Amino acid sequence: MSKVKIFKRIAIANRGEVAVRVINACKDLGIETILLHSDQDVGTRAYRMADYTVSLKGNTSAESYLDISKNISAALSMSADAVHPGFGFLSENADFAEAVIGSGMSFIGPMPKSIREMGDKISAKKIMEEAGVPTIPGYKGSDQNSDVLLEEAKKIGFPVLIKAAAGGGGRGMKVSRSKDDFLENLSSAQREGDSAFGSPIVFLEKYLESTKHIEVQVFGDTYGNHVHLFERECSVQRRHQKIIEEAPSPSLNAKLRGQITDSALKAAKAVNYIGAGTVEFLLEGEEFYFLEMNTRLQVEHPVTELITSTDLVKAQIKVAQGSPLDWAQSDIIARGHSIECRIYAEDPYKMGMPSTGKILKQDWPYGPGARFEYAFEPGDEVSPLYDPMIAKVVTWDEDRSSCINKTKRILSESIVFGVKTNFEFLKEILGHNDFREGTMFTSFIESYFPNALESENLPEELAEIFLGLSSKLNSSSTHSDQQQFLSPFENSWRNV
Amino acid sequence: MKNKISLPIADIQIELDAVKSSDGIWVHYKGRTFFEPVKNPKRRGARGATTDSGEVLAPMPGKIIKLVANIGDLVKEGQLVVVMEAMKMEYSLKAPKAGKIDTINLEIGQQVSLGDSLFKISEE
Repeated sequence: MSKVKIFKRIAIANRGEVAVRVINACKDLGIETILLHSDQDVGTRAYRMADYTVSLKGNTSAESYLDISKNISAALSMSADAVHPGFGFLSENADFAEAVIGSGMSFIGPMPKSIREMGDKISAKKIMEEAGVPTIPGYKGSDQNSDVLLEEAKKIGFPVLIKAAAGGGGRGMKVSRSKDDFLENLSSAQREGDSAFGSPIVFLEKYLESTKHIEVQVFGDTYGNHVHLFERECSVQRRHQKIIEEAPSPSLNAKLRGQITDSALKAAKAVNYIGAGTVEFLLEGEEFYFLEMNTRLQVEHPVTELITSTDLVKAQIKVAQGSPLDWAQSDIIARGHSIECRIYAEDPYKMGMPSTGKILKQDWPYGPGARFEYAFEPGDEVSPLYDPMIAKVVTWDEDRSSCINKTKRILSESIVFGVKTNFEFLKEILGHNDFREGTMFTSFIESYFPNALESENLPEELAEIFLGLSSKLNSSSTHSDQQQFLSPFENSWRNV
Repeated sequence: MKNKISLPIADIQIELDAVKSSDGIWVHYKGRTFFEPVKNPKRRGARGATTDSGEVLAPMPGKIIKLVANIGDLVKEGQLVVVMEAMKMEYSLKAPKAGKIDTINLEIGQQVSLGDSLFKISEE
């Protein structure tokens, strides 16, 4: 049924490090790129790397990256053959996928029908139950009256997770611990769902306490072939937003790995899945439950690429061109261990408060098994308009403990000046006993780092430098001895 | 990209990466990054959230999305007053102490800057 259609130009309906990732894959395949961008994002790395750029004429996500008609006309204006939606924004919007296809372009992703079926968490759960994939008990009814929801929550038993039906990425998700805080959390979840996804519909489910987040990378083509590329573990998350991901999971034995990857394949086949997708599960003991399927490329796809020696973005493009998958299941062999750390522009000493500003300096310690995906370069402004993730540090080593050690070193040698980042927080997590042992649960951050990091310990000699410098900058009359030790400092600032 | 400098402090020589910005100094030293703000009396408290006077300042730039108290309301310590949004996440600002809401300097939908005065609580 399918015939291969080679793309000449791909439009990228996204920003940041994923736009950079897609541009690089296109370059490797000899395909031209068109970046569809907000006005603000003229100051980003992807803008400078793309062959062509089209402004979406707007700044906020709503008036740029989330506006379907603007993205379609911008892509058409540059004669794009296909659109890559990246992740987030319109990547899991079936209307967008349909609009792309309806305008005569190819959508680099699954069929709109699969997005719709999996994007609505209620229908996704039904499909999984029918396909024989285990799911979590909950309420997925259409009666959204808050009293009805409260009664259903009581039936399920607290704690209860309130999720925006159209949500994802941690938005519109709240945990209610008792009937007393239920209504407050409900309205917050509805509000977030409404503002982020345009739908206040929620569903409820049993909140499992000691779970691990395990997800399986799947891939399908237009010929009905489906493979999995093993699992990732993403148990280190805060407010349901992942911070550190790794592959393989330290929590699975061969038997469990076989069962969970089989279930993921069943899920992919149930929706005739095409392209890259991720089936997420919660693992409690030896039991696992379907959480959701992400019908797109995943932020943490690099760890899978590093252990399986694959390029998932190139594979997405080839499948969208109508080529069969390059791999049979037996070709996919996992080796070694990989860890991804998400670098957030936030202050770890202020509970992860967003930090914005101009990047003044950025240094990545390249070397064997160290990969850096980043959105900005010095001089670029990290704005409060978009996601706080500014980069990803991805490492590979022969085994998990070597990989943890390498990651800590890499984080110590990485430099970002201009916005606060979570480097120190990531290092604390990597050094934590539960993480080193691989026994961390999804409650790991909440249990051990509820406020991120407590206080910053300034080395004494540095404190002395800062003290001298601030008194120098604050007073017009300076002591001569202070002047003396500050003078080389001041001189070296001048040319920066 | 290297901005390595060497500093003699007392008797030791310190090697560090450093860049000066308009509001302070960024330093990478012994594998960690530090930022030392330049103290400016006019922006005092701008990086924190609360001043001694019971004034609550915006801890980050962002948008006000919810206001759950009015001027004259009596609030308990820790009671929710304002919800802000930045970088796709919601942040709740709570009363730093018990008292009466004296001033509210914001509206829903308003964009605020770091350090803007949001509301003030006086002791009752």
